[in-house]
Amino acid sequence: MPERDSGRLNRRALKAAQPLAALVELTYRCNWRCVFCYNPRHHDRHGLDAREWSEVIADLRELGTLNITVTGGEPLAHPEALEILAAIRERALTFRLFTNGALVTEAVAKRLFTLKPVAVELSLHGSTAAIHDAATATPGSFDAMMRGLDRLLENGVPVLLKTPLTRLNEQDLDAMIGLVESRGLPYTVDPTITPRDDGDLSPLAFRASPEGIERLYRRVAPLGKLPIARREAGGVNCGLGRTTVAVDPEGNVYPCPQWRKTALGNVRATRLRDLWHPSPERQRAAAVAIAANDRMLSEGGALADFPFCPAVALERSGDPLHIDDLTRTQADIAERVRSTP
Amino acid sequence: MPLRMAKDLAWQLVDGEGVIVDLERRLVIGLNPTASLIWSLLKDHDEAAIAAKVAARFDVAPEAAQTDVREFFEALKARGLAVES
Repeated sequence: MPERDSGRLNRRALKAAQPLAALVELTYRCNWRCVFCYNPRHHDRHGLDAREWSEVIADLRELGTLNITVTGGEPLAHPEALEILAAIRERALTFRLFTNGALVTEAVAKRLFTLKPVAVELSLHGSTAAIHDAATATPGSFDAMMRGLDRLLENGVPVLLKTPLTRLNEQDLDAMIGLVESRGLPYTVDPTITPRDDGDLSPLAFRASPEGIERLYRRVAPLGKLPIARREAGGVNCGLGRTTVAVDPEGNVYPCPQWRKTALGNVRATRLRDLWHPSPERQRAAAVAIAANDRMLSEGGALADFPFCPAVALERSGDPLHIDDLTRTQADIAERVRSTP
Repeated sequence: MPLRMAKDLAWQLVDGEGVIVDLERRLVIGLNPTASLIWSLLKDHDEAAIAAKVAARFDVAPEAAQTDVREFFEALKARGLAVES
């Protein structure tokens, strides 16, 4: 029984429009108020309950999903969060849990250990409470996150720390890396800040500066972690409309986690298993993934092999193929770091 | 003796090809077409029924299919991917 060739399997899933990777937002509820949050609100109007989520999970199983990313809001703020996670495992699927850590009690950590997540991912917004709590606009959030982190680690739950790089913490990058290294944990830093899902552009004011992004790229380049997209003529830019699917707290279905302009439908009206393949909106999004690949290749230079998100472009400009100044700047920085290490 | 999948696994067929994720050992395992069919039938079928389906799908003699299924069952047990139920 050989180890899996993930590239080949991904190509097969792309061809079959099999949504290998799903993202489910259990709830908009959140106990923090991150200043750059992409969620449009912090409460649910009529959120899905565990029974409804269980049906979504069954349909994902049937459509060919293997991994479900569980997020929110704060997913553990859903009153039936652990029941929903158990439903994922009962269907023999994997899950990653994105949480701020504040609601990870000892009992939750013990339950998570038995559910065997691929990873529980917590956001580190700064190496100190002052920096972290400024980003979350929630006094005490740094200490709450660290308590949750300790409980997870003490119970043997695999953890990943990650940082959205912003103007608020870009000067703190070295200290954050030091903090994570001192605990021997895996770590990722991402400078992508997106508009709110309702189109509000205000989170973009918190984007990291070009200098901050260059510092980040110079730190990750020796680790082989500069952002790169391996494109080929006739290929696709990403899994949009094919290998990715997202479901929001109220049951709206999208062709990837970022694409929020138009839903494919709502699971309360049509079962997910029935709406995915025939959806015209999904097929339009899938066509965009081809056009985006062509567009980036035709741009050439630094952009030809730099990651591009049509959904973010759509949110920022109204055109999923528009390459904005930020993307061009990031691609140029990556190219410069690659050529002058 | 019928088999059932071990507890800490995930799996899926990707365009017909099986992939198993062993969450305890943190391994991802790919299956060939015969193994993929056997694995996907494990939950609801016994060894004889699976062998019959393998023989029909791959146009092989029933005895050969039975041997393939038995050997795969042994490999699954040896790797802790399935247990006798």
